[in-house]
Amino acid sequence: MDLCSIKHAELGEEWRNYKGRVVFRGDYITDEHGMFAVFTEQGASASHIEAANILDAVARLPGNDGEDADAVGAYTQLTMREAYKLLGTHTPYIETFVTLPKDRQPPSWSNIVDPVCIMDGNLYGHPIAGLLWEIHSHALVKKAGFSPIPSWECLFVHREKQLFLSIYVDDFKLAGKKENIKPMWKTLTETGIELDPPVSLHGDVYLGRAQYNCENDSAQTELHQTLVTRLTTSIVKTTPTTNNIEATMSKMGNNPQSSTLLEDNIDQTPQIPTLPKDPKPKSPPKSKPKPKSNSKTHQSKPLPPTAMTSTTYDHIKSWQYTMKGHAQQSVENKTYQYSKWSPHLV
Amino acid sequence: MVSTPCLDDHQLTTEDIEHPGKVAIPAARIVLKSRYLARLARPDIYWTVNSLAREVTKWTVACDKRLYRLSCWIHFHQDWTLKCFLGDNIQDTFLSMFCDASFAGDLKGSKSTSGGYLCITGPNTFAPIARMVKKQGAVSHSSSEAEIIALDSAVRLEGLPCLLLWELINDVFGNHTPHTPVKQPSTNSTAHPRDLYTFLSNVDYVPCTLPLSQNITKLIIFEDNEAVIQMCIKGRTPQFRHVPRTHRVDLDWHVECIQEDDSIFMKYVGSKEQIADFLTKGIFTADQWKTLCQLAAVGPPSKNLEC
Repeated sequence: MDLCSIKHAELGEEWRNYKGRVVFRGDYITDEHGMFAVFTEQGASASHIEAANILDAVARLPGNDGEDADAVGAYTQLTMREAYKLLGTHTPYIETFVTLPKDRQPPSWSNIVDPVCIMDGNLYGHPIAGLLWEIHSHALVKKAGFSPIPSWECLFVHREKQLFLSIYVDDFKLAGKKENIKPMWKTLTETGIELDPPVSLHGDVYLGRAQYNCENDSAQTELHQTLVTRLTTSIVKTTPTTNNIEATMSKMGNNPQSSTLLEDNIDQTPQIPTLPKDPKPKSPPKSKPKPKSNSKTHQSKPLPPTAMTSTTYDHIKSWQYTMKGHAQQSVENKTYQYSKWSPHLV
Repeated sequence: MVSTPCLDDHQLTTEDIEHPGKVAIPAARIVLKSRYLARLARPDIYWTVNSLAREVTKWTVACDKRLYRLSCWIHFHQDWTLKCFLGDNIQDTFLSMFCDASFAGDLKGSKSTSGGYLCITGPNTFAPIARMVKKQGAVSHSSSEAEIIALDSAVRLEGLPCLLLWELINDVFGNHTPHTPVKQPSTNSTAHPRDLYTFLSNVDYVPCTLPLSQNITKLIIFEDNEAVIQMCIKGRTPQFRHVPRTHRVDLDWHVECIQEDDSIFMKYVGSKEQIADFLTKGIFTADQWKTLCQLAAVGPPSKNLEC
């Protein structure tokens, strides 16, 4: 079956282009007896948006960069016969016969009644096409030196080259050491993944969301610098005391030395911070009782002291995610009009 | 022009909540398109979209009104962006999890909503990476109960997985300085047991399949409920003995996780600076909303740089 869609329909006219795709009717697969074929549920791994966000941040670390590339044709980069080999020896290759649409049949088939042919490509629409592509692409990525990250599906790390790779079906996002990115794209291509030329993260659309490097908003930066500095000046780690008896004794006054030590170490009184615009900081609530001394706290390393915050923003890289096109669509198409229909809203 | 995208249950009448709405048929399509927006780049509409997404099969006049308000907000703020900036070396950055809950915000079922906002932060860094809005599964009987359930969800679903990844990234980029000395695991010395206790402890010893934490980065939880902080310090939650039965949450595990993991820290934050506040309820003044959007780094676009 042929499908036609407009790619980047949510963006401006200049971005749109028609996209055609030949797909396999996965909803109508029968066996030789005409019974619907049953496939075991083979779910592909999830690619997390959090991983993509983290990689965008990694790409902005000093000395780092990030790029994105699409796999050409994705699923069809491997044949069904090759794909079945990836499933292991216990899954025998089963030939799939397909009926082509009339306009796709060669003239030599005109004399044949209901002609069929063997499907060789791993076409989109086949119930396990996604899984086969995933196994194939992940195997090649591992061959290039990447190793999977525990509990993060579709995310890989190359420790030696200091690179991270996130895969979302046919979208490959690579972030890490700037000088290793270009050679790594070359390595990935050499292992057998056919990729489009990589593009910079600036202006890139990943999962329908565009990101742009932007000018630093000094007011926003200052607001967050103030917030982070104030909130993290005295971070408290709470751990239960290792010697409850000592704590009990100190509470009862049997061990004054221990009691003093514990009291000195406690820094748990909550401080209510104020907004940056508020000139008078509020005092901590006095009515709150002091925490009991059956817990021990320690002061952490002074994390972000004020001296570390920068007053010049030249070295700060800013970027923003925008989904203006989707926002426009969500109100232009139906929502706004439907809502206006309702008389009780007026 | 509307000042916020949300309408709280308290701003609606009983009739609104009970009578069937008129936009019920296309509701799912409209709401889920907005949900895509909210998940990827618009945390400002996340709470409203979440509350509407639950109602697509039981659409009411209240939902109509809420959707209209949301549509107006999106219409007038189509170009809003989620902004991030980074200007530190990796060893100066850490994860910040803002965690909050409403208390019985849903008038129909009296259930609370959990909210979480996770960002990479540093002296010159702020990059939101994950957010969470989740209606709680059972009724909470106090704000502290709602907050500790929210804390559990936020830490378990977003905080810990991201901490694992951020620590790995720190390790890969050469930050090997632990902020706290690493606890050494007990050695498997079955060959020469020192005593019977050691010997018995090592029977059925299974080594950890994941690398142990190196304490090279931090997850700081910003909580605005002092009672919850105290519970985590003391390791006791005697008032919430019913929670495992109602919310199906093991608070002992949760408290132990926060106490034992040397990379997890807690800090009190005032309600005005609690970013996750706008993910838990829908009643705000225009000024409050503006401040929260600024803190969450969502707002009008900045000028894009040239390629």
